[in-house]
Amino acid sequence: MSVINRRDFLKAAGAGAALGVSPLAGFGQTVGSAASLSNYRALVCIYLFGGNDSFNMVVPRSVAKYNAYAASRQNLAVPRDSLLRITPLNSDGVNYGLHPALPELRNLFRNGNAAFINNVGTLVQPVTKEKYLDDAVNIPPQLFSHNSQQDQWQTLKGLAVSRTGWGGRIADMFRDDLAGQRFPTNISLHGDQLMLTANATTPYVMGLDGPAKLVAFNGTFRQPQTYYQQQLREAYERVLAGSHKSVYGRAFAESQQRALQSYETIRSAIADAEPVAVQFSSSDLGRQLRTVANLISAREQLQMKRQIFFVGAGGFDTHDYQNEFQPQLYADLSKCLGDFYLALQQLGVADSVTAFTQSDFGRTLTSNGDGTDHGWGGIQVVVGGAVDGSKFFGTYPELSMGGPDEVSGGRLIPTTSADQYVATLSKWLGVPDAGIEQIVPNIGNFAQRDLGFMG
Amino acid sequence: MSKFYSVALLLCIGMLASATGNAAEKSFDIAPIADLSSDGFADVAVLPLSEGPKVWLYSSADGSPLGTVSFFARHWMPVALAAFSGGGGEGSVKDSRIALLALNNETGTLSVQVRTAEADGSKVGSNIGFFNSTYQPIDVAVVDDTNGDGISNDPSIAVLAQRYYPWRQAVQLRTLDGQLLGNWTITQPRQQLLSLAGVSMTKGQSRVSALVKGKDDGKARILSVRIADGEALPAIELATGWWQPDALDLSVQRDGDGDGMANDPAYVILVKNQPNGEQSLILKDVGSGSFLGSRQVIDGSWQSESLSVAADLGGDDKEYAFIIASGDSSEELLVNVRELESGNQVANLRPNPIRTIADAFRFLNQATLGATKEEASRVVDMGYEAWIDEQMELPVSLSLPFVYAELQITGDIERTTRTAVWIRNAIHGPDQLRQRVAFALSEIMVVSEVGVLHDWGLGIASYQDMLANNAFGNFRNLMEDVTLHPAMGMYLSMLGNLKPDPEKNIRPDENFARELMQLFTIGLDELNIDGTVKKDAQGHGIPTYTQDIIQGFAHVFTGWYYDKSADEPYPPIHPNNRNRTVPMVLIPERHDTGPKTLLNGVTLPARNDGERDLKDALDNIFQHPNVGPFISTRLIERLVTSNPSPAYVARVARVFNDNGKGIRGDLGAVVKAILLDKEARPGMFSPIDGKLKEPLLRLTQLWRAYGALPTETSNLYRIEKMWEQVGQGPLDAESVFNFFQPNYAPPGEIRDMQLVAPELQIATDYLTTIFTSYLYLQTHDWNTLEPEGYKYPSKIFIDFEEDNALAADPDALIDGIAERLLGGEISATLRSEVRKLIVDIPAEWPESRTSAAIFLIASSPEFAYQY
Repeated sequence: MSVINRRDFLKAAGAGAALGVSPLAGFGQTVGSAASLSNYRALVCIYLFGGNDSFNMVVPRSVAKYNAYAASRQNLAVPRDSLLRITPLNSDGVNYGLHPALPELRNLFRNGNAAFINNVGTLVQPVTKEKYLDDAVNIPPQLFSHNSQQDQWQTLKGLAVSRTGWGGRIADMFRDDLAGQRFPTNISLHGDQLMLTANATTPYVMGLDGPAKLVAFNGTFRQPQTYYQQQLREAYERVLAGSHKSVYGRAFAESQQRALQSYETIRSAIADAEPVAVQFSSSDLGRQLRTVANLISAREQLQMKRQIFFVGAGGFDTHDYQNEFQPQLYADLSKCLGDFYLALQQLGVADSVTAFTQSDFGRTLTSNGDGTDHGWGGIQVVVGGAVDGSKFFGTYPELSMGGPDEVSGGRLIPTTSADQYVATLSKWLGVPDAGIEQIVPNIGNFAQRDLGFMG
Repeated sequence: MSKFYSVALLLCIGMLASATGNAAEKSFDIAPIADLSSDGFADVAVLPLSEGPKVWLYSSADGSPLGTVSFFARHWMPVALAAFSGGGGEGSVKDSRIALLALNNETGTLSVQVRTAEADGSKVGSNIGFFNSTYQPIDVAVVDDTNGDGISNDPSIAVLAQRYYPWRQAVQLRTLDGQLLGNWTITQPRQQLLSLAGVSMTKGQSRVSALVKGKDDGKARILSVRIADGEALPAIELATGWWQPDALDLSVQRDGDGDGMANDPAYVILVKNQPNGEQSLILKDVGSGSFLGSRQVIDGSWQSESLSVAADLGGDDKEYAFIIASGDSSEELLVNVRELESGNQVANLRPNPIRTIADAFRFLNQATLGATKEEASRVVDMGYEAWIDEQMELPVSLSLPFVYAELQITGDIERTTRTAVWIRNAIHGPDQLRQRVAFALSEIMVVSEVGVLHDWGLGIASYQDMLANNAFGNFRNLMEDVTLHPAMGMYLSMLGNLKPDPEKNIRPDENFARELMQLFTIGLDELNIDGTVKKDAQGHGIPTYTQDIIQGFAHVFTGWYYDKSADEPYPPIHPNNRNRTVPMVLIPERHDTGPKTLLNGVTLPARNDGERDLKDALDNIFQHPNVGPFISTRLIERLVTSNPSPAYVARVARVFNDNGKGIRGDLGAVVKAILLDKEARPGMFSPIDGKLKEPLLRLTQLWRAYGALPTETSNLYRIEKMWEQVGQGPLDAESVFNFFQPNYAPPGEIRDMQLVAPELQIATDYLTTIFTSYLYLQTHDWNTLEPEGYKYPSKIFIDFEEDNALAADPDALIDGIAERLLGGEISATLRSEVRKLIVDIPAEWPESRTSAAIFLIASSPEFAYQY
């Protein structure tokens, strides 16, 4: 198993971190003092599960463009006069608006703290419509399949087989530089995610509101831990540490041990940190982003220098009732983004934290009656003080049927790749130029490695 | 006889770049032993290689069981056995001994243990160590007359083994007290070691002989070393020319010419002839290698595993070949005995495997929602197949009628009530095999109360019943019932799917069409019969369908909607319509009438016949060659193991394709083939066997072990928000991709070996903490029938009374709980930790001791996996 070291790329001569027995040994985190990534930076991936119909998120308002959009989308088109006007600083000559359920996002964009990445999707290399129709170019396998394209976004593996995610590879690369951290670099609030999976480090998984209460060993409800529970815990830890014949038993024991080891660290760090004052929405996404904000608030207790968070929102697979569901989904997303940015400002880390969306795919421009089906390219949004905001990156596509990027019932061929999108984010987080290919293996197939949205 | 690769050893020494599954090529080894049954004829010892270090003894008169002999501890992996005389005289099998070669799974060391050949035979001498832990064991053999003086009074034991780095293949010979007599390299470039035999000869010519197969020329040959001087003797080719049968095993006939003088031994080689698969014996002179004859022994419907030749049975001076063969099922065993000289059959036995409670317990953890010791005793008495047959005849434990009745009384939340009825059936439903298969199907053809079905408890209960009803039926019927169930219709938006309206750019909804193929029936890539992915010339997978085909099926699935005739609300309280529980119906004017592109180049013609379109389209998928291997793999993963060998998948897929009566898709036959397969029935022999139990199955097993009851009088097993309390609830997955995905591999050794462990995907820091906490509460604070119990969110009570009665004696208590939860097999570590914990609790508090012991065992890794 090879672990990529960030310093190999920086050619720095720093001494290797001293390895020692640590409560974090189970997470592959090393212990030591060297930390060349001394300032704090974090990425927050907001994964929109199911495939966001993002061509209703950012919509052309100029009449001809809007009419083409409306002709394609028919009963799913957002009424033109309801769109929230936005004016990208780098205008392509067309006027645009946001879905009316996105007022907070509109404000973030206006204030220069949000940018849109247009028609971005999974690619192996640049694709034209002609080559796509002729099967003359490599494309990611199993387009339009949820799990295949989620894997693709999260691994950027292209045609290769990969069982690590790009966020996991970053954590591995940074491992020696982040040896002083008291907690894993990567945290998911939405289950085990391939994006954070690595070879040498293990992400920590918590719930919407943070780590679960370990009732068994730490006191039930308001009662303190008893002598009995302490004995029980020690016995349990020894059972876990024993030798286990089955690989499944061993993996189970390891996951239990990791959960136990990190429990006090994370609970006490959160308890000691100032909770954010922002009233987040009580939706799943709101709860996750509130928890992320509280974890960021605890960054100094945990001595964190780099973090990648994964939060998820479901329901974007709008095959049905799209006109009913999409406004709810967007209203929640918008409020959550606004609240989160406010929390970052209160914590004084607005310039150090960047939130960004990923989603399985865009959706068909055409309707299936009351919803849309799986597409390819879509629009993603990036939010944060370090974002070169109020701008579009990547070309906003033609939305007419038969347009230059359109195939098969209104699926759009991406003109910007997920690789370029992630490479730009990775660079901002501190991945050296020479190490980008370790994180984004196919980046060499694209001329532009940095889309520029991180300044 | 030789042994499959030792996965454990390979893992230890890291010699294998990628494990290829635990395909056990051999299942059994055989040796004739003394006449225990006093019928004048030798009996037989059978080593079931996949069931742990334990030998079964049978009468050769009728195949009746004579008991078992256990060797070593359970973590030793058996490799091969040999039998020899305990001193009863020349060539005698009277008073015989069994030598078992085994590999220590934890240390990788190899040893031979000798025991007397009788029921519960006693150990003779000390274990004899061979080689070191870098060697992979192949076979064991005995040389009766080691010094070659013509008198078999100096037996020695030979072991054949190989080391990967540096490459070496060798034989070691040791006396019964472990003294090393020889250590001879027999390495030839690129050869596979098959088997070892000891040849006793006069004039100091005794030798050890290995049967090997050249990897390049495919030719089998015998390589021998003379014991007296360690001289390598000329190789003997099994066959020359184009005819090269598959060599399987090697044994020795002492008296090749039948003149009563054991001075002219012959090799007896068991082979399989292609293409008809018949198995026969080839006889070759040991000295010259010349061909002496052949004997046809077993037809191609059986797979011969092992051969052993014995003389002097019943004092007739004749020599006999004992051959053991297996069928596809772990229950099918054939022992064939032939007089070697004439080739005449003297016995053809079908002995039954001899199983223990622990074996039955493991079986029940695959075939039910949790093994119990009571059911395990029944399985031992009945045998696996009879138990399966009995289960398949039991009436279905339904959900919907009870959910409906309960809701009429309480008006409670549908989801909680539906889950409560599911739990009750899981704990107390007699039709456990059906419930387990229905649960497996619910994780393959997923609908979930997470999302649009959040208030569909009645509809989901109906869906659960539909799965249970179809569990042993035909897969094609299941496909149709799933397709037309309104819960699925709503979940994957086929309900209300309309024909296209080109003017409005409206196309049919593709959601159900896609997932039906991707997740429920054929998968993304074309498969071989053994479930491996077919590759194109560039080494890439071949997609099973294109977007055109998805669109074709999307057009098929237009026009279906709620059955309006069932629109009446459920009276008197519940607002939801009964139409959520009856199949959808076609509204012809909403159905697309154009031609539709299906799989395999089929196009449905333009017509206005939505019902026929649907049936033809489902037939089109059902006939796709992927369905057999795809569904077989999914069901094996849910019931038995995360990493089935391709051969296992192929055996089951063939049953899917044809149940033996020309019927495709017989799920009852498929389930039976899965559970009885020899790969489903291993002991603790390989660390990659079996799978992690998901939290729900761990919990149902605990509940079933104690016959859990509700704390309320309503007979409902309520857990409020089970997914929050436990981390998993039935039919409550995150998405149509289930709680976890089949290809999930946790980082570490499992991923490094290119294996998978789907259930580990939900063993996250978060969910394991939740589940451990729930187990604690279930065994402590919440486990009460006292009035305060009403305030707890879980209302399920497990009765420890029987265990409490044992609690004064910590070891008795641990034994009692281990019998209930682990089939009696508890590791030394767990036992000692439980003991330390509970002796600290005063004996006057038996309930506290019991709670602590049950919690620690139920939360341990050994309770968390099945194998």
